[in-house]
Amino acid sequence: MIVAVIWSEVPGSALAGRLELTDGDATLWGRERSGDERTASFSCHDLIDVRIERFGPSRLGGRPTLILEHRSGRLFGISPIDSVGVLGELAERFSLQSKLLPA
Amino acid sequence: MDVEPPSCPTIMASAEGDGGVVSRRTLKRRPRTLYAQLVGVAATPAARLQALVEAGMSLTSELSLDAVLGRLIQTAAELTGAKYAALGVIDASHTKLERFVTHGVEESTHAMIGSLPTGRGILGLLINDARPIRLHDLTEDPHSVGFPAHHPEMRSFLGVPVMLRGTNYGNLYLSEKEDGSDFSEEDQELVTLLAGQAAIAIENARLYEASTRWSRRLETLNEVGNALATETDIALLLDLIVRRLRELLSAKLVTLSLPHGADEIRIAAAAGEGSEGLIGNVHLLDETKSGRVFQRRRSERVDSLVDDPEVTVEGTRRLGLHAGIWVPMIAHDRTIGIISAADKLTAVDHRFSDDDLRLAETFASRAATAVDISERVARDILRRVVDAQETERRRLARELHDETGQALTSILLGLKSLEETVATSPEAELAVAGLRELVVATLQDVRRLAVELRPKALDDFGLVAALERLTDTYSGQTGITVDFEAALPDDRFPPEIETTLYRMVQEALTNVVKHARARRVSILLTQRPNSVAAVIEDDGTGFDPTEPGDGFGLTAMRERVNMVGGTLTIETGQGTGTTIVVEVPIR
Ligand SMILES: Nc1ncnc2c1ncn2[C@@H]1O[C@H](COP(=O)(O)OP(=O)(O)OP(=O)(O)O)[C@@H](O)[C@H]1O
Ligand SMILES: [Mg+2]
Repeated sequence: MIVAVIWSEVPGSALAGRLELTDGDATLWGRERSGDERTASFSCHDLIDVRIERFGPSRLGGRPTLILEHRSGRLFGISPIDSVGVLGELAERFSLQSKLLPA
Repeated sequence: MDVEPPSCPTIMASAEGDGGVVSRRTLKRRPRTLYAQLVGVAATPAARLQALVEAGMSLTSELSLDAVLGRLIQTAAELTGAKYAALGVIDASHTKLERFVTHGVEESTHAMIGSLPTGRGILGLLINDARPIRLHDLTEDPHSVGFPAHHPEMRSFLGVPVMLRGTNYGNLYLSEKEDGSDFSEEDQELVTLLAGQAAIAIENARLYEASTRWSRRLETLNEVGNALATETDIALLLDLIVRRLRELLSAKLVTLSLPHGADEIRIAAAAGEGSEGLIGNVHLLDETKSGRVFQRRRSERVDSLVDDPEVTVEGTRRLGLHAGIWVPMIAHDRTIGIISAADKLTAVDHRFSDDDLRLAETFASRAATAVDISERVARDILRRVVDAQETERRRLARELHDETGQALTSILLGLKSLEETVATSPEAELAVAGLRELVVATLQDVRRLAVELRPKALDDFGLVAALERLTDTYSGQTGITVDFEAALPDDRFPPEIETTLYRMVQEALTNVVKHARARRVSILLTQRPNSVAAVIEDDGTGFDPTEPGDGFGLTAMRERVNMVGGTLTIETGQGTGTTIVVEVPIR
C-alpha cells in the first residue's frame, strides 16, 4: 500500500511525500519546503506504540495525525493527504503488523 | 475373362483422410446389369460402349468419392481385361497423391507392401506430365524406379490422366492385360472416357466437401454467436472469442487487441502457442501490423509474414510464425478492436485461405457486436455506480458541512458566552479554552472532510473554481508548485463532465506526490468545439507505463474517462516527467 502523506520525524519539519507499507516494513520518503529530501524506514515489529492524535501540536498540516513510536525512541507523525478514511486504516494496519493489536 | 464378378475385391486408398478404406459392402452394391453386359460380350465395341455409359450413370449417382473411384477402376479393369487397376488422386497442391485406390491387389498383399505410392517414378511422370502412357513393360521404362517389396509383378501398363476443363485431378492406371497382350489404342480411348467421368465425380465430391465444410463452419459460427451473445463479462468474452476463433481456423495463435488511449493498442486476449505473456502488451498504432489494420479498417491476409514490411520481425521470429490474417472488429461503424490469427496448423505452408479470411470476418463482426454490447453494459453499470457514489459523497459532504458544521459552530458560540460568564475561576477558564480549541479543530476537520468527499464549489461554481481551490490546498500542503491555467470559453459543463475532470486532476495530483518526486506541476484546461481537455504535466521521475503495478488509480481513471466517451493518454518514460491528457466530449 502506497499513500500520499505529510510526515515528520518528531520533532522536525514536515515533509510531503509517501508512505509505502509492504508486509511488515514501512518506508517514508518526503521533501521539505526547503527542497531537502529525506527517507526513513523501519520494521513494524519494532513499534511500541501506535495512536492517532486529533488535537494539539502533533497535528500535521492541520489534520489528525498518526503517531508511531519506535522502540529506539524515534517518533514519527504521519498524516495522509486527500484520502478520506485512510488514517484509521493505517492505524489499524500498523497496530496489527506491530502485534500491538491481536490479528 | 471370368464370368463371375471378382470375389470381394479390396480397395485401398491413401492414409490421408477418413474416407480411406472402402468397405466391401459398398462394392457389392454395384449394378448387376453391368455384369450382364460384360458377360460373354465384353469384347464387342457396342457392348463396351453401353457398359461405359452405364458405368458413367452409376458413377454420378454415388456420393462417396471412394465408392465412386472404386467402382470406376473396377469397370476400367473389366472393360479392358486388366488384372490390376488403380487410381491416384492428386492433392490440391498438385505435387503428390492424396489418395490411391486399387483393384486386384489382395488386402494381405497391400499390408505387406506397406505405405502407398508417393508419386515418384512412372506415377510421378503422370502427375507432372498429364498425358496417357502405354507401355509394353513397365519395368523397362527409364522412368521406372522399381517396385517395392511384395509388390505383384506388373508389365503391360496403361495410364491416363483424370482431366476436366484442363485441371488434372489424378490418374487412372491399368496393368497386366489378362490375355498377356499390350493395352490397345482402343483401351486407351475407352479408359480416357471413363477417366473423364471420374474427373466429374471427383470435382463434385470436392465441391460437396467444400460446401459441407463451409456449412459446418457456419453452424459453429452460429453456436459461437449465441455463446457470445450471452456472455457479458468482458474479460471472459474476449477470451471466448480468441479461443473459439482459434478452433474455427485451426490457427496456431489468435490475439485480440483493443484501443488503449488515443494512439496505442493493447493485447486484451490471446489463445494458442506463445500466447502466455502477450496479454497486456501495449504498442503504438503505427508500430504494429495490428495497429495499422486497425486504422485502415480493412482485413488483410499475409501469406509470408517475413515479406510484409509492416509485420514486426522480432515477434514473428520469436514465436516462429509464417502466415497470418488481420481482421478489424467493427460495430456501429466504430472500430472497437482487431483480431489477428497466425499460422494455419492444418495447412502445410501455414497459409490461411480466402474462406478462412471470410470466416474470420463474419466471426469478427459478431464478436464486435458482442464486445460493443458488453462494453456498453459495463459502462452503464460503472456509470450507475459512479453516479451513486458521487451522490452519496455529495449528501455526506452536505450533512457534514451543514449539520455537523452548524452544530459545532453553535457549540463554539455557546462556549464563547460560557467563557464570559465563568471567567471568575482560572481552572474553568482553562477548561473552556481547551474545549474551544477542540471544537475549532473538529470544525476544521469536518469542513476539510466535506471538501475531500466532494467540494461544494464543484456544484455551485463549477470546475475551474473547484480546481483553483484544490490546487491551492495542494501546493500549500505539499510545497509542490502548481501552475493552473484554464483557457475555457464556457464556464460551466455538464455535471458528469465536470466531476470526471475534477476527479482526474485529483488522482493525477495524488500520484504526483506519491510517485513523481516532482517540484512542479502544471494543469491546463482547454476547450475545443466538441470536447474539453485537461493536461496534467509534472517534472518528476516518470515511469514505465507498460509495467503492470498494484495500483488501481490509473485504471480507474481510464475507465471513468471511457465511461463518458473520452480518452486518457499518458506520455511518460523513466526520467522524463509525466504528462496525462484527458479529453472528454461535450455533447
Ligand atoms: N506522475 C507520476 N509519476 C511517476 N510515476 C507515476 C505517476 N503516476 C503514476 N505513476 C506510476 O504508475 C503506477 C500506477 O499508478 P496508479 O495511480 O494506478 O496506482 P497507485 O497510485 O500506485 O495506487 P492507487 O492509485 O490505487 O492508490 C504507480 O505505482 C507509479 O509507479
Ligand atoms: Mg494512484
